[in-house]
Amino acid sequence: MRQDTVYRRTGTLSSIRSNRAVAGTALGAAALFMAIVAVLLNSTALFFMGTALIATIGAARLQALLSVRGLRFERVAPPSIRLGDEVTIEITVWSEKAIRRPLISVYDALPPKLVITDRSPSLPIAPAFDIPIRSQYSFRPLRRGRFKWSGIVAEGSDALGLVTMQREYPTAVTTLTVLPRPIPVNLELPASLGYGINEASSGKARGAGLEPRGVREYSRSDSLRHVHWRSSARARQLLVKEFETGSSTAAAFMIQSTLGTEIGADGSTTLELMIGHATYLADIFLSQGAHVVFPGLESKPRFASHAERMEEIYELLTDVQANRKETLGQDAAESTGDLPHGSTVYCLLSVADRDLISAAVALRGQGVNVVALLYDASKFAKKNSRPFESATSPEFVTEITRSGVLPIVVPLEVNS
Amino acid sequence: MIQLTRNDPQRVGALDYLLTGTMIAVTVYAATQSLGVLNYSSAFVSAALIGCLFSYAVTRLMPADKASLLSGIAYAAIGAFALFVNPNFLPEDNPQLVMPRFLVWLLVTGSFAMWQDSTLLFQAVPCVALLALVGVYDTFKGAVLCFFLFLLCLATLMGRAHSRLMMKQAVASGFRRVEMLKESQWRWVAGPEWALGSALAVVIISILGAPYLQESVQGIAGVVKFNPPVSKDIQKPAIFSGPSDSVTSKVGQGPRSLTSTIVFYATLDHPRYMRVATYNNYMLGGWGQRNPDGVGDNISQYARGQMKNPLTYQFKIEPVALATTGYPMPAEVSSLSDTRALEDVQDGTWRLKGGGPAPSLSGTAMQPEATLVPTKADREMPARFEPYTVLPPRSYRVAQLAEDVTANAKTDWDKANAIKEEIDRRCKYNLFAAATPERRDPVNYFLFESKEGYCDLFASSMVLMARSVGIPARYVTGYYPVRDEKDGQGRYVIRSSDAHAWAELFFEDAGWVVFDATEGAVSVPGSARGDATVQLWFETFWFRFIVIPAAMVAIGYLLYGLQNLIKAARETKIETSLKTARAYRRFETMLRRAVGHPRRLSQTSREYVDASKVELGPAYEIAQQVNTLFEEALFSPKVSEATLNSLEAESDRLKKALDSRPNPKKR
Repeated sequence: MRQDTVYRRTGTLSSIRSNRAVAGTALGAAALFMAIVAVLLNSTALFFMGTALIATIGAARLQALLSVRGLRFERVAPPSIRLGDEVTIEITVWSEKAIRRPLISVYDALPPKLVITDRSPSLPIAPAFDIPIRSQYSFRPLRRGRFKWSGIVAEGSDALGLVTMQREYPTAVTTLTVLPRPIPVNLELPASLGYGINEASSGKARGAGLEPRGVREYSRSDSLRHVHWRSSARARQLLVKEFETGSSTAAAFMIQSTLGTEIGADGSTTLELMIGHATYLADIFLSQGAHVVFPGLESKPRFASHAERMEEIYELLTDVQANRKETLGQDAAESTGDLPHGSTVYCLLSVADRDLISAAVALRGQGVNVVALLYDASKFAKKNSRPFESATSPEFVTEITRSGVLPIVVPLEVNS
Repeated sequence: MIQLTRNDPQRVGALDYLLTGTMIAVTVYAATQSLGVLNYSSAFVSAALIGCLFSYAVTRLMPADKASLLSGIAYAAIGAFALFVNPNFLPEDNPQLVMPRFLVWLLVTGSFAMWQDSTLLFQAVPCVALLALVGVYDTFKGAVLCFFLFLLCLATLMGRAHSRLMMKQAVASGFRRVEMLKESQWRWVAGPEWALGSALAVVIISILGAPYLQESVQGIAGVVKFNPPVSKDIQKPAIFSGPSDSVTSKVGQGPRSLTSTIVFYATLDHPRYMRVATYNNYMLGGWGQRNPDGVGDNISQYARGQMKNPLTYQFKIEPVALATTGYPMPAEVSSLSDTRALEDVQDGTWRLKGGGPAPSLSGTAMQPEATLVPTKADREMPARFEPYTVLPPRSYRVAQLAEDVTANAKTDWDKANAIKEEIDRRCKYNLFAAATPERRDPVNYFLFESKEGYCDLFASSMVLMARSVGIPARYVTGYYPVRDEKDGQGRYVIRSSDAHAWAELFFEDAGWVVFDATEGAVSVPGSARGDATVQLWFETFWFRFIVIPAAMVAIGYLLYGLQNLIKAARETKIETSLKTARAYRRFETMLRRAVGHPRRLSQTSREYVDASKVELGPAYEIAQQVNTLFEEALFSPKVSEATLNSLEAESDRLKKALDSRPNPKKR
């Protein structure tokens, strides 16, 4: 159990609790002092005082000990939540003994990989004999994934709050799926590549369907070049032209998840940001009618509705961890035959991967466009990080540009 | 305009301040009693209680965040004051007494800065330290009782503080309805009342166990010999209720605690010295009787026989609160109205025979002729009266002084007066004079070094100096109405502060003649004869003009708060029960319309719903749920606003379900 993460937003409470613990220790020391001096001086008054204080500490310890004995726990967590959402865990407690107890708190032994913030203390409760009493606590997860844990720690004290005791209890395994959260990103993607195509460049894209679909409200990622001024003047708000990219258009996302390429700590890592951006871009592409695939992560993507497909993507990206042996370039090379002609591959990477150069050449030969979304990993690096070459290094950018990859440096100061 | 803050269950309340006030009061009381500064006891206790009231007022007037921020700063400032300033209230400037002095000041002044839980509870630290010192000094018998009372208060206070801490944790956990906790999650809690119960059990265990423990470690106990820094001059019983009448009477023992308690009424022709006990043998810094039972020499009869042409006068004694077996009588008693309860000690004093209340007595006493001025001491006394002339060993200096001051006196009477005048000239009368140091003779120390003292030292000096020049003399304790205070019936009101000691010298033709050397002595301001050295706590200025009004205001406020609470509870209960009844009527009406007939009297609500399953159709399950909610609401002691809201919402859901049922007629 990571006590340091407990009460991150209730520092005062924590300090008060530690003060009380100090008070308990001080009272114990005073009791000991009185007892020793009582014996040394043979002082009757001190014998009474010392006995009373020792008995008080003893009674407090006994109460604290009994408060965490004979309990039964059941935990209920929501099956899945989005990254960063507040999750409330409900814990039901039964007392198996017909005794009155002081208030107890519960501490869930969350798995170490589940990085969280804003963990609240649990609701203190007084367990009752054979009657379910419900406690709760909440936190915000900072990492995606599927997490399982079991066991719970009950922390009880005496009625005076002087002595605290803990006891661990087994519980059924609880599963929590933390889905990725789309992170908006403002990118100037080439129009013909299925992201806000304009008339000027439409002819350059091979196989892109260009039937106009109408106008829509301006959103933050839209280029000003696509604003339809006449409609905007009429509607008194910015409207942009939207084009049907055609059912044959496919956007493939490949995310760098090679072991050791995730730079950063806790929830602020390059991988988490790339996943968030990929989710966002996938949603945009799907809304524009493009077919979105994740080569390497799924074998046979099916054609489903926008909403269904997004659900699939959320589930898919939940499991992505930086633990693969293969490099992004190797994955891209492997998927060369799977991608349809005229589709675009978006490679999201933060650490330079030179395998991508040969893979890009092969992909270009198959008529697949390759766009590299580059993240400056140095901005995530901590002081003791091992050395790496950021994907935004000029050398690497030059090399991939030469191989026909369109490099786009993702602006981090806006989104991270 | 000052706005009172709302009663917040997460903040310290009036009861907490009451508990803390009691805690501090008993500690300070025990400390001052232990240190012997009885006259400061009530002032410190009152100041601490006022501090508690002040702190409570601050918490009511100041927002919680400000109070919590400023409380620590204020307490630290006060702590610094107590550490570096702490004016000395002790009679001695002993460096070892700095710690108790600091702790007393910290407690008293710190009570003005207890604006949050932590500072409130922190006061327990100096309390424990001070009580431990009281235990170490072991000079106050009530220390253990005070400690137990302190422990009970502390346990309850900590239990309540722990509850508040848990309530804050509940809020931090995201639980919004903290006011409902005691009816739900905390219904079965062992809270502050259990803390108090535990503390009571602890007290009982200690009372039973401590003597056993002390007994069991007797082999190793007491290996360290500790001389407490509290000197004997401040180790005094709490209240001194009368003059000594025991076999021995120590002198020069430090300030006496003289109260203004009425001891008896005396009907006399004018203020007279009233004896309780006499002593003839000066030894080891005190007076004793050569004959331990005090009976046998019959000096009284001899004295009466010495009087030439004596005059008689009437007197009456009406005891109120006699604390001695010696019965105060004027000299020399010749007859008494009733002697059944008294025994004649034959030295001019009388004492009560056994238990039972002291009776009122009247009688006749003798005095020498008014115009008689004796000149010669009775140097021819029978041999059995020799003790009245014996000078103790190592009294050369006193004897030398007596001889020096009487060198020019022609008669014994002149000598006696010269001695008295010399004592008056040399020494000041001071009720708060320090005790004679150990292994020093009190009379020597008084006459030649301290030159300050109270009646026993004046009288002892007078006796020894008189004996030095051959005048038989004795030391007498009793009462003298120095303030000439009379009640409506003309009786002299004799108080504890009228207790006195004087010398009686034996002269031919006159018998025992009183020589009170304090008469002409200069008094230290505020310390004159007849002054009370201790005010009872209920007689103090603080108590009468500050504590009582403050307590009345506090009680009024508590009663007002209690009345509001009862009123609010009643209103809430009536209002919620009305709302529940209305909601149930609506529920029943909905069901009646859907089912087509009302609930039978023999049916419970659940039976009615179950019997109507077919008619209710798909709404049956919702109706069951709503019915369960109503069962809980109608039969539980308290219905919350949230329950009422959910009842209404569920009823709306039922209505929609009933409305959306397929119309049976159309089917």
